[in-house]
Amino acid sequence: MMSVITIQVGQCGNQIGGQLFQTLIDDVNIKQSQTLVSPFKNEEYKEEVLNRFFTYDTTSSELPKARAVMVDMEPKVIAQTCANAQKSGKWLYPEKQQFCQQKGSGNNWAHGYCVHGPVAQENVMELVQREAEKCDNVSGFLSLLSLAGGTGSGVGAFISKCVRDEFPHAFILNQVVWPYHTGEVIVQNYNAVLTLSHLYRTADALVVMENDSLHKICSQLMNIKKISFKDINKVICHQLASFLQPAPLEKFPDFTIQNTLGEIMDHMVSHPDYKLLTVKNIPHMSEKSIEFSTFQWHGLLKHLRQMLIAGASMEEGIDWQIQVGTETPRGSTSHYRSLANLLILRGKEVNTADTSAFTDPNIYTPWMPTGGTLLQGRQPRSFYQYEKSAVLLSNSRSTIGPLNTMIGKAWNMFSSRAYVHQYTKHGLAEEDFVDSFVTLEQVISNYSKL
Amino acid sequence: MAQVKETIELLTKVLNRNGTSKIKAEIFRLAKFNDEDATESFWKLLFELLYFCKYGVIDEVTIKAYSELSREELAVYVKREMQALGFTSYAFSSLPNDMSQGSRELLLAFAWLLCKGSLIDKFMDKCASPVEEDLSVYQLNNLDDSNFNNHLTANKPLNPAQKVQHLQYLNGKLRSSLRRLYALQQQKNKLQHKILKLLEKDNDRLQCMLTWKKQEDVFWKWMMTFYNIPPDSIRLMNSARKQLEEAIMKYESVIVQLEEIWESQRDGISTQELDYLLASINMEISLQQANLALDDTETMLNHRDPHLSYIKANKQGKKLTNLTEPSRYSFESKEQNDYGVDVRTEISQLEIQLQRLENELFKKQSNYKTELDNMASNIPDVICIQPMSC
Repeated sequence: MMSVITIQVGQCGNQIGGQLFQTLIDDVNIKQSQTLVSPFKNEEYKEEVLNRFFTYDTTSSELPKARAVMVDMEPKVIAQTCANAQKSGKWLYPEKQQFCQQKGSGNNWAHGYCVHGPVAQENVMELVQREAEKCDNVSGFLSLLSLAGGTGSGVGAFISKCVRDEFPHAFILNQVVWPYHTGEVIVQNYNAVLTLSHLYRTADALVVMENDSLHKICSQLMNIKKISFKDINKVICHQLASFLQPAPLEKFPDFTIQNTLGEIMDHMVSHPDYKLLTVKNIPHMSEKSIEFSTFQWHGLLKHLRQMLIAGASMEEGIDWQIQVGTETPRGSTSHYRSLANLLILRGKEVNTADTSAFTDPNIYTPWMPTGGTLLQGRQPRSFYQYEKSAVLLSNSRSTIGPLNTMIGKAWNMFSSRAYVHQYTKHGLAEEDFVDSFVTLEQVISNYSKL
Repeated sequence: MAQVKETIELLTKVLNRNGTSKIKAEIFRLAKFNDEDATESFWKLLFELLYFCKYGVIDEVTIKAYSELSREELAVYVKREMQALGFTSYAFSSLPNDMSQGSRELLLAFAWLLCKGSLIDKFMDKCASPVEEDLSVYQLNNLDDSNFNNHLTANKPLNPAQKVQHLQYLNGKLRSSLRRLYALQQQKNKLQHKILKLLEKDNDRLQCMLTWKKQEDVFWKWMMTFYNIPPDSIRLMNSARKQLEEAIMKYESVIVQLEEIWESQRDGISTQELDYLLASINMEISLQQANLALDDTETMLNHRDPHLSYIKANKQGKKLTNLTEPSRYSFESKEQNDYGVDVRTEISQLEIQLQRLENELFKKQSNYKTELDNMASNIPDVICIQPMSC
């Protein structure tokens, strides 16, 4: 059994982590009639989920315990997250797998990375090691943290590095959220640049989500009036779970393999220069509307494909003008080209869905061999009450837009050396800033050439 | 017999390694002297072993069942199962169900089960099975080689920059494949380690049992000394045998009587057999008659009832009456009705018969006329006046 250990760092990471396990468990516990498969198949699915993300003992009546390590510099959020899990009555966090101190890092990345990180290192790694020993096989780590915060990003980036040193062969997937364009913290762009560049060196892949797009999904698709962080976290976790939950992948003709973290990473991020992934889900809607909606595979996949080539994060307001195959003489295209895609369909009549539109070589960069372009999975078991749903995990150019904006803002501040002294006083050098800018500029340059 | 204690200790070890609750060698010694303290342990041991004989395993269910069933239920269950296996000791069956006493009988029952149920062999069969089971080999079939080979080659000619990217991609792919391979290797090692541990445990169990096999005669010799302890046991046995002989003698005459009755009865056939025979003969006859009835005009003309039947003799009658002949031909005869013949077929049959009769009549009439004419022609001066045809 290939298990995934989740490392939750900071307020954002812990809140998302708590929601993620809740989402996984909620999906497992949907009514049998909604699963669309036999009880036996559903039981298999359930067991796979529990083995991947939880430790549990079939013979005892104990609740499953999340395979998770929690880190924060303040005890408040961790305590709250653990209490929420307990309140659900369906799962728990393992005991003594939490590390916290009494004081935050005050939104200062350098304080987190250079001060808190090294102090916490030994204790945290012990927790990670202990969690790893509970698994027959560690498929990899899922690390959750915010880009722009102080503790989460600084300590998180540091821990990510430690995990890489300790488990050089394990796969590390980071989930990060772009801050709002009009951010709440003035130095958020510094923090984001530093986090991202450091993660890019240690992690195998970064799943990137934008607060702005998530916000739009909440307001336009889910019809939520007053959007809270909880709502946004729910969407994030829905997106994560939709590709992490078990599904057989059609790796070769007549040969399928489970979508373990290793398999996903192997397909998506084999090229060391391209590590940014985006998730596109369809459909997204409020629970009330699900009952009254039916979808056809054809329609869903047509939308999803356009979302891919137009770089849209949701099904509403897609630019349908963008077409594949309009290449300029110099080889640049108007559509967002991909390196690799993972398409997973879940629910009713998955085997009838025609996915050939995603195998079109024009979607992909020319040097990508066919075997590396599209990997697809079909899971007849429904996902989260959706009779039909599809998720596309994509390594494509669509991420560099927001990245570019962010680097631009950070560079503007850096050119006047604004707030830099607050970072250097904790031991971060100006060269570190420059290195980070170079790393990310290189990423943008690589993706632009796709 | 210092060796006895060791042997029994070995036996308790063998039992415990194979899943039964712990039992002390001392309990065996106590049981030999019919000590009450040993009773309960032996009931438990017997229960567990019987469960093992039936289901091939001693697991949580066994423990749970033992703790949830009442003493009486357990005792009755053990007694019944032992009986089913063929242990029919009267003394054992009449042990009190409250598990208060009778440890010696229980020890005997245990020894019987150990020997006759070939428990040790069954334990051995169970060993090393984790390896034999689940040895399904996963094979990667149907992998189209050509498909597989082209899997990662470039689709079209690439320029040098693109070639570099492609090679970098392949390099990355190789690295991640190696990492996954490494992870699988680690998993394999972990699982192998687990298997090794299981095997070691099995090995240990087997070793114990092998030693037991070598030493078990000591145990059986010790068991045999049972019969030396109660001084009156031989006398008891002799008296029991005498009782048995007397009983046989007592019933001898009854048996002879029964045999005589049987012999006499065998001469006469039982009424049931008779009934059966009669029914089948009647059936056969009526079947044959029904076949004949359609075309056997002669029988019809003779006014003979085709429905012959055998009538059962009265019960006392020793001989069967043979044929009886109903006086008149009648279609309403009982047997006929029983077959439920359709009226229309009956009518058509009758019509056919009528036709035949008329033909017959006509034929005979003309025959007789010609005969009469012939006769008349032989008599001179006579004119024959034929009668009116009717």
